[in-house]
Amino acid sequence: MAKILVAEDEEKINELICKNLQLVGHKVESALNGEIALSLIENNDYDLALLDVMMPGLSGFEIAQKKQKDVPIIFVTAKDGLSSRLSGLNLGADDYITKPFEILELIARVKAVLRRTHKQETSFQLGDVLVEFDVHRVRKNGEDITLTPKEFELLETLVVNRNLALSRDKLLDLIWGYDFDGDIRTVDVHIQRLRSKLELKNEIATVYKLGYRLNA
Amino acid sequence: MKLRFWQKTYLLTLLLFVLFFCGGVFLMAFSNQQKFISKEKESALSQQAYRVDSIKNDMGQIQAGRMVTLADVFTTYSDYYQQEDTLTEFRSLDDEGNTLVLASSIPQELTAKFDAVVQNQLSPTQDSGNVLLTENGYFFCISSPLDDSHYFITVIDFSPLFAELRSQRVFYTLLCSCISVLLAVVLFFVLRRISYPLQRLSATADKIAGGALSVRAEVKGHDEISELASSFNNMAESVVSKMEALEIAAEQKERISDNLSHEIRTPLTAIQGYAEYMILANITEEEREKALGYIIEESQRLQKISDRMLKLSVMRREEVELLPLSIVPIFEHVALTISAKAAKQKLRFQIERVPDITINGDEILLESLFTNIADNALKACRNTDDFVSISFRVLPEELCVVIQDTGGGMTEEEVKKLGEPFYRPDKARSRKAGGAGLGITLCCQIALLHKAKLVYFSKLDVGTEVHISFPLIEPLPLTREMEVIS
Repeated sequence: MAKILVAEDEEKINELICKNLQLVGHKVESALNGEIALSLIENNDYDLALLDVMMPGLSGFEIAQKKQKDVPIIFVTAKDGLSSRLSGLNLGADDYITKPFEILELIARVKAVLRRTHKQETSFQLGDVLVEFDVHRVRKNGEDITLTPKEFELLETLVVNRNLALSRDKLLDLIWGYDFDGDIRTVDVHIQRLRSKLELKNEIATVYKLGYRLNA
Repeated sequence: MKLRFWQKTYLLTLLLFVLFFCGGVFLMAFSNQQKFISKEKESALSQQAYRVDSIKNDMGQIQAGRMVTLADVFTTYSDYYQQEDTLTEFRSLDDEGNTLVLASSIPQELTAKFDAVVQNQLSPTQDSGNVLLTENGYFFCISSPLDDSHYFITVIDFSPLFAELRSQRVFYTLLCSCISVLLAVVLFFVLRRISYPLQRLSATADKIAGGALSVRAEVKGHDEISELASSFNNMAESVVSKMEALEIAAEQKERISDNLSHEIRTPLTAIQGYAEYMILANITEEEREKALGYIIEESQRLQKISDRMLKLSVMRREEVELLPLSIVPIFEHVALTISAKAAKQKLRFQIERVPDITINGDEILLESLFTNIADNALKACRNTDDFVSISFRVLPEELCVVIQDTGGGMTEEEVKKLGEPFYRPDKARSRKAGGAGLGITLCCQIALLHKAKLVYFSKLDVGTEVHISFPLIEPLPLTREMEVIS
């Protein structure tokens, strides 16, 4: 759970990003132009700032140069050229994502930056289940539950992307890796096991034709 | 060995000079010397003739008097001439070709030398003279017939003469050498200096090529080199200004491309994002409906952009037909649209009485043109005090439509960029109001097609006036009702 600033002058897109970040458990604030974004950064402590490059007033690049606070930055923009990417990264951005983007990708990149700055959540509570990521432990009603490494990873992925549906293929790639030769049904089997071990049959929902989703 | 231009010129000039000058001098010297020798010979010959005359005279007298023999006479003459430092000899030649020396003052060593020559040159009819070279020097040997069988030979020492000539030749050679050397030195420095302007020009060219674009060559004097320098400067100017124009054009292209990509990607991002959101996210039905609404709005926006881009490309290919039409119905439509919008935005809108003028045009495009500009005028207004007005100025040869607003105005820089596709002076507001950034670009194209002039007058915080001037089909006759504005 991190405090994130979303600076984007297109209201609909700003709203979209904010809603998605909130779904996965972050706290968000939004700015519709460069000057407001800069002043918000200076007067608050954000764990991450998502800056659109082409904004009226100050551009995302200018904000990155002018800011005094040490806050990690991800640039979001339609400018795809190599020179823009290089400028962005040279200005000290932690990442650069181009529009249009898949929301899962944005969330993953946000998570990556937060992991680097140690701002990611260390634990998650759902009902009577407590998942502790840093010590790799799951407890239900205070009692330890044993999970295999893959089961834990699956649980972690569902938690990090909570409220968003993840397809079997995506889960297979993320957890078992691209080279996995086995059956895709291993995903289903693991989901079953998680559900029964943690008694989260409702929370770990099957989304028709799309995959699985942790509703929280 | 690679030679520089001035070095080549130098060597060539030097070579030619030496050739012609020295050649000329020597030719002259040679010819003079030959003449001189001829003169000496002639003089010797005429002296000989004189002697021969007097000898012949005496010989005649002797034949008559018979007091002394020929031999004695000859000897006497020989001795006599020897005293005068002239070496002589008397010979007789009989029919068989035998020679007998009757008297001689020629020393033994010399006789041997010229014997052969003399024998050959003895001629009964005339004097003959030959120059011969012996170890003792040059001699001029003249033989003259005295009578059928007697010859008088004189040998003159031409050595001093030839020595003189030789020393003259030496002098000339020396003179030529000195002059050549002097020339070689002077020419070297002069030509080398002349090549400096060329070297400087070359250095200037290198500097410009290296990036110092404002450097120019020095233009001194009025010769070919200064002409070259001046032409070179012209070329540099022209190239630099073309480069700058190209840079500006390239920047503009990049800006348009960036803007286009932004204009298209933005609605696409919203559409894709909300669609994904709707399908993947754990959200309420209400949220879903809202998302769907956004998707529809952004799709419409994309459609508007693509519509306008299509119109632009159609107009560029000039597939539009212009017909004579009255502007009254056009402005009726425009007034309807704009007054409705103005009412919604709670702004004032006024339009003058439309004069019944006919111009060549396309009805739909013209309507689009005026509506667009008036719409932008509305967008520029900031509060309810602001207004938009349309007025007309009728001149003998043109119709001027003036659309005025009291909105935010623009700076000169912004006005310059107005026709550029996707350029917006105030990004946030114009996009919010639904603009696609192509409005004015389209207007410029429409104006161009109608051979109309589109001029913007704007002042920050005061407002903007847009003047659209159309040429009239036939110039209207002047009447008292019309104001002639010059």
